[in-house]
Amino acid sequence: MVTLVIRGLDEKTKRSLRAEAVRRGLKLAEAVKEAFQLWRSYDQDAETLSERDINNAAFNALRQELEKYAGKTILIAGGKLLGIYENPRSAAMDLRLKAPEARHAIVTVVGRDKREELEWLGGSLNL
Amino acid sequence: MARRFFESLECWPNLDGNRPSIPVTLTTLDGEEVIDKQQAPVDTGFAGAMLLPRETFTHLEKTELPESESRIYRTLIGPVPMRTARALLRLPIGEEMEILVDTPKYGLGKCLVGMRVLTRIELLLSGKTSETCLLEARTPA
Repeated sequence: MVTLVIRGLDEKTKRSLRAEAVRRGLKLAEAVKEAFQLWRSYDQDAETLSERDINNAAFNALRQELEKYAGKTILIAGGKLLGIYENPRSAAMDLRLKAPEARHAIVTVVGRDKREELEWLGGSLNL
Repeated sequence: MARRFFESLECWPNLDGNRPSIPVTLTTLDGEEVIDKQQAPVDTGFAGAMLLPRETFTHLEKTELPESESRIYRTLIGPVPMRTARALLRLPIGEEMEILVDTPKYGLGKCLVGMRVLTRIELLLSGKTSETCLLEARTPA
C-alpha cells in the first residue's frame, strides 16, 4: 500500500468525498479505488464504442436483407457481414480466423434473438 | 401429490452466511475462460440467466447481440437497458449450457445467477444449514 498526497483539492470536494465513502461503508482509499474503476469502465466502453457502433449500424442497415436467413446465425465484425452459420458457436470460431483483431462482433440468430422485456425484482437491484 | 426424493450431490456455504450461491464457470463460445468456479449469488427475482459486472462482460463482446435485440429489465425504479451476449455456462454438475448474459448498459453491474438457469437445475436452499446444494431427482416427477 502507498500513501498518496493530493494537493489543490478544495475543502468542499474533500468533505463530500469523505462523506460519500462513509455513506457507502468504505474507507477513503476504497472509495477512490471504486470511483477510479467506474471511470475506467466508462473509458473502456468508449474505446470499443466506435467498433460496436459500426457493427450495430451495419446490422441495422442489413436487417431486412438478413430476414431470409431466419434460423441461421449471422456474424458482423468491422462493420461487415462476415458469414452465415448453423449456430453461434461456429460463428465465434470463424471470427478468430476472419477477424482475429476484432474487439467487438455481433453474433445473433436471425428471427430467434429478439428484444425481451424481463422482470428484475428488488433483491439485488442496487447496481 | 406423490412424495419425491432428491439426492444432494454437492453443497456450498452461503455467501456472507445468508446469500445462497453456486460456483459457476463461464467461457466464451470459442472456449476462452471468463470466470472459473466463482461463487455467484442466486437471485430468484432476476428473470434472466446471468448478470455480470461490466469488466467481466468485456470478455464476451465478440458474441454480443445487436443493441436493438439486447434485453430490458422492468424494475421498481423503471426500465434498465442491458448489453446482452452469448456465453457457455458450466456448473459443477450437469451439461454445459449456452446462455445469454447481461450487464447494465449504464453502471458497473454485478455477478448473479437468475431464473433462466435456475429453471434448468434442481437446487436446495437450506436455511437451517446456510448452504446451497445441487440435487438430483431419485424419483420421477
